[in-house]
Amino acid sequence: MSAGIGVPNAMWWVQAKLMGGAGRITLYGFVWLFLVVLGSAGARYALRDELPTFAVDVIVKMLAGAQLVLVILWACNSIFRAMVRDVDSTMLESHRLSPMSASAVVLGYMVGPFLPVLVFFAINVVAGLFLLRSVGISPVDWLAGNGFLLALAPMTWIVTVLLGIGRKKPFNPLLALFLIGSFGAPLFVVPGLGIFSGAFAGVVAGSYLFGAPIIEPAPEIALIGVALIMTGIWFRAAMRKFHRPDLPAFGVWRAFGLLLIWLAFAAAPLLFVAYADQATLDAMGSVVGELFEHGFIVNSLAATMDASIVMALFPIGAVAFARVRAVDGRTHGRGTRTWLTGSGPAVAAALLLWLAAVDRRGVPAQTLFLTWTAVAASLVTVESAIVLRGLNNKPAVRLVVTIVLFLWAAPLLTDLWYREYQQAMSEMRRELPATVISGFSPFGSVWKLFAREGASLIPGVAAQVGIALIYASTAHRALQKRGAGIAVGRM
Amino acid sequence: MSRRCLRVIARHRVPFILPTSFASRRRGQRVLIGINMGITAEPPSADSPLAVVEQLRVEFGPIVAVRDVSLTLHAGDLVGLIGPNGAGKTTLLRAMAGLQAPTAGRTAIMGMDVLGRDRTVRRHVGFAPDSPPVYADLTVYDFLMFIGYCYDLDATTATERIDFWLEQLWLTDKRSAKIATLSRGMRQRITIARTLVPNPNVILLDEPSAGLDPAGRIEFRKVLASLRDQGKALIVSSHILADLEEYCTHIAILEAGTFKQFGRAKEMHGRAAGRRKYQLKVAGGGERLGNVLGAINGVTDVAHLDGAWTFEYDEDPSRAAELLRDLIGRDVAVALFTPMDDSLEHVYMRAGVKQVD
Repeated sequence: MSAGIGVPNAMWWVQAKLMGGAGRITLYGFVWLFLVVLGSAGARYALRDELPTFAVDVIVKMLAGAQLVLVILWACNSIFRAMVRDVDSTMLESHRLSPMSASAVVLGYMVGPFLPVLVFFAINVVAGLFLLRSVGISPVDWLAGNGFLLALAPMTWIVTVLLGIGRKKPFNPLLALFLIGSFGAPLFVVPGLGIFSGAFAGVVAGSYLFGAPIIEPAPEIALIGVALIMTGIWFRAAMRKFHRPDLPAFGVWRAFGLLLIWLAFAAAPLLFVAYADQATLDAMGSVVGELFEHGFIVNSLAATMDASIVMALFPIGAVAFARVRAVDGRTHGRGTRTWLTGSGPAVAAALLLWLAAVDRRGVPAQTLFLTWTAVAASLVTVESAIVLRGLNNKPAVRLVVTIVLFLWAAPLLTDLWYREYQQAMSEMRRELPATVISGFSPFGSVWKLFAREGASLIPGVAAQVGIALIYASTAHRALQKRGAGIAVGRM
Repeated sequence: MSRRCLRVIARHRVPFILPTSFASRRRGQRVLIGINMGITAEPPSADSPLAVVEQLRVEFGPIVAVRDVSLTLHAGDLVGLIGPNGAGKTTLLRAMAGLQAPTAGRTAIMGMDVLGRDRTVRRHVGFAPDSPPVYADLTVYDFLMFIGYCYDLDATTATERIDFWLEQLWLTDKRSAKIATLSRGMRQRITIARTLVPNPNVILLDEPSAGLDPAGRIEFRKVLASLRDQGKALIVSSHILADLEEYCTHIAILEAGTFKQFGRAKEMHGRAAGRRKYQLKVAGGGERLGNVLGAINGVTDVAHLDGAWTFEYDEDPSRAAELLRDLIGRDVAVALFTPMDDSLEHVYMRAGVKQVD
């Protein structure tokens, strides 16, 4: 932190300067205040024939919408634009050259680019409070919603910073957040997805702002705790990326921890439904019962598995990087950590443990085993591919995306297309079961688990294992060759 | 230099450069002027190296941009880094500045790993890239003020340093101008100011004079020479060899990521320390002159080329004058007697550096 400037962060100072300085920010604040007062008065006048409470309710809902737009959309977009500007102008490198701490820079990017928004936010809070009290409505939900929003929004901000700070072209996560938010179902089927991205927090806080909370305050407070922990994890990752953009955002242990947190979030509701006794489920009402009747566990299992495969890429990448670095141990005199070299399959083992935990209520054991084998094989393939790319000093992101998008999804999509074609040709009305083609990719294997019918998984899984073996042995040979003559320990 | 700047220096003993005319320095003696007030509290020791590069290697896939380069910089060293495009000059400087992680090897600045977690090392190294990194929407003063804040300078010190460097780099009248309105040359000067305001001990400059006008280049040469004489260690990458020739203590020719030649500038110019090459022409042929020269004590490397004799002798002008008197005393009909140097361009061309395809 800079001591001599009277503000806690030089980054904030420069961001305020780039916005025109404190004078202009104050001016914008007054303009916003004027617009809020004008809008409120106008709405009250337009709805003068209605009950005053109705008019206030409409205005407060408009303010609630504005709060969400300001703190999520505007803020994230401001951060994204600041990242793009600094990456393009190479100012980000200039910051790297300076002795500013990584935390100061990340915090500067996290809050600096939208300082006026926080002024607008505060004006809206006061305006909503004033309006609600003027008609005798309790402002508790309004204040709670704003509080939750301000406590939970930093996770979306830091995710935006993280996606920009170590890249040549920053990635704007707003679209993904919008899509996830628009299709609320995945948030509940795969809770880890919503919690990790911050979208779940936004939805819950928004529900309070609009006066219709979807969960009770106690879980909400727990959610804030989780969000703060996740914010801390992303913050550290962003710091690491700022300090060393050439290194993965997560170290091996932290990446494994992230995977376990993800699995915990994703599995908790499933485990609850799978292991709760029938009386408890009955006591929870018809909703859970209906979900169970419609194969909730298996469907959730399949969806979570798919998402977990992608999530597992964090530790996979970290382990692969550690392997390559172990070979290049001469860099900075780093020693070799031999235990790292065999830890790739540990990722798959974590998935296996979880799968074993949910092997209840009608999931066939053989299908489950084969699906796990496919997932494990695919993860070994990805790790080996990353190792091979790393040994050639090439970025592996594009390769991994290609594997995920095409090799993993293509057999499933091909199968879907093939069955559609067969169905159209034979004019059959009933849907055809999944064929053997699906089994040739992990996503397809999971889909077959989800479908619980169709041809055997064995040929596809065997092919995936074969591919994994080829990749793994190639990577092993390359490691040995590269490591020749270098004291790297046992490989 | 304005009176205001002089007042600032007198009042605060700011350690910045003074033009040669103001500095009481003798040849071969480095004089530190003032005492550092800022972040580099102690002037670097003359014995300990300021920068050590050990077996630095940077690979981009199959391309080896920097190939196991080792280098040690002491206070007062000013290395001119030359080489064809794609030779690895920028990558080497970036790796030394900690912006490019090496595939192998390390760089230590003032004994600290440049990629270490301790960001104190950043206070001691300044790097000016060839493309100026600036906030174009800020004024020149605000931008440099921000840089000062990044390095924990208090507002008074930062303002004084900024004013000093704006004057040194002829930017005083652009103090309140938005950077977006300035030319590339002006931005290049701002980048140089950005590098020097924190007062680092190791200064890495990548093509610093590329966008400067002729007058700016002349002034900049003085700035570099003064920094060198203050005991900073500098590496300057440039294609303008005539500039490097004037102020560099060492020359490094980089080819395909490795030093093809590296040495003291004088030696690179084709002479040993304390020695100099001379050219001699005599009337009437003087075919036997080789024997005469060879017999004179201190004359070495006698050669006859294109009707003129060349040889090495003491670089001291008074000794050269004695030699001339001696030759005339031996009835040698001297038509031309002159010291000669290979220009850096000749040295570079003679090195046979290959262009990168």
